[in-house]
Amino acid sequence: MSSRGAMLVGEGSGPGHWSFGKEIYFYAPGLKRYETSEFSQRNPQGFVPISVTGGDCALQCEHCKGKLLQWMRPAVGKGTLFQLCRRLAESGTQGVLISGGSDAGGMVPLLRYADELKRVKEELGLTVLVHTGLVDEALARALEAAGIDGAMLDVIGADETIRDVYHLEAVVADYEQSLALLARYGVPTVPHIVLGLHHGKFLGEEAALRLVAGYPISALVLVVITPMDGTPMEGVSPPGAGDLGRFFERARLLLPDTPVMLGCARPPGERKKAIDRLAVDTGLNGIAYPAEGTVSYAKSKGLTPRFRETCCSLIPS
Amino acid sequence: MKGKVPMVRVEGFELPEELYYDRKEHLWARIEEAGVRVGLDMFGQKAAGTVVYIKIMPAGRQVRKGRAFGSVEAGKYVGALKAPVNGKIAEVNEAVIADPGLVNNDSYGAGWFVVIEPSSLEDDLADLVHGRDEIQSWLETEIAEYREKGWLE
Repeated sequence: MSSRGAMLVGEGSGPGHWSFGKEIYFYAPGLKRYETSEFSQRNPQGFVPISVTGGDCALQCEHCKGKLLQWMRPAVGKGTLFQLCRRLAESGTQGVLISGGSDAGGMVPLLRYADELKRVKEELGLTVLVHTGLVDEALARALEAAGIDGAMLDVIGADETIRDVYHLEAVVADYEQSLALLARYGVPTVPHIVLGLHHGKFLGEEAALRLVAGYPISALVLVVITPMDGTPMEGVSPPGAGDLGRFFERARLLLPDTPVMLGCARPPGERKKAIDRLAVDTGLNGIAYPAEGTVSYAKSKGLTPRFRETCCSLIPS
Repeated sequence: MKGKVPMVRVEGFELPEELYYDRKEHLWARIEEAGVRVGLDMFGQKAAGTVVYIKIMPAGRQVRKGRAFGSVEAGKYVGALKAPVNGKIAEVNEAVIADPGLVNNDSYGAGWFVVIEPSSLEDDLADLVHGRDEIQSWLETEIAEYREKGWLE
């Protein structure tokens, strides 16, 4: 067992066991150009984010206001998704993250692109991840038929957060229903939990963790609320390191056999460096866009780094 | 600054003619009495997205051309800030460290990073982009390449 495993065994609480070896994965997908002294992208176009709604999102969540969509390539309208993916594949892209803004019901309008998703998989052979938002049965069935590699959705564990932050008339049970439908249709599912989503405070995170742990997920991705300029949350303080570390540990213990990743979003700078070290210390399996020094830190803990230019939701086999 | 100095303008990007530019890093260099003032050009900051964190070596440190004197985290870019010239850091812009948004809001003014006391200026300027025609040609090529790669909206 590695030194980080020993930390988890702790005082004998929890399962006291986890099943991963000494490898840790570092990811740098093409959502942004990334270069540190320890890890640089070789092909920044290797994994490309696409929005099927362009910059449009009906929810206008408090933490985002659609800003994240601005960094994605737009593919709006029948046929455009496949055409864009074909051009990307011809220029060396190996995978795509197909995302978009939500409709008023909290769903990304992927269903209208179901045929194109299937063609992207079958004819182009690209790796395909999708951001779903909430899922209904028709979408779950379509994603299964398309053979996508992973469905990702932010799971929220507090009705207040769904209402006040996402401006969505839905409840926690709707997220559970989405997970259940994806499981029923055998769609590889990688839920995300945004830590501090309720204006920097922990509220529904623990409930979300218990919820996702009840389903056969491929991996769990944890991200940390990152205040963005021009949003109502630009002035909030993200959760402190202590709270984040405890949550990482809790996730690790509750999901001893499921990869748990630290995803793209977290506060920058020294905070990021500290959060990344916590992720290493608590035995998380992967880190997206690691802060400078994180790879060395992992090595100092006896871990073997592996590098991938894909989303961290793609679990190495 | 805008409107006061001649600009090269291509597709909405404005680069002052008087400055020197690193071809790959999009850092500008302005020759001043105190040294070489360095910042990120308008194209570079647009391609990087909103800058959220900047780290810069302290004044007094020697820097080598093409090697990092700091790092930047932005919405679409995480990476090093690489010196356009050899020399010693004479001054660090603490204001831009405290408020990285200055890079996006005033890239040729308050958003500068460092002043470098150059040690081999003449040699170091040789491969930097300078002059209206050269800047225009280079910028057009960069826009096309970044668009092709999806790095520009």
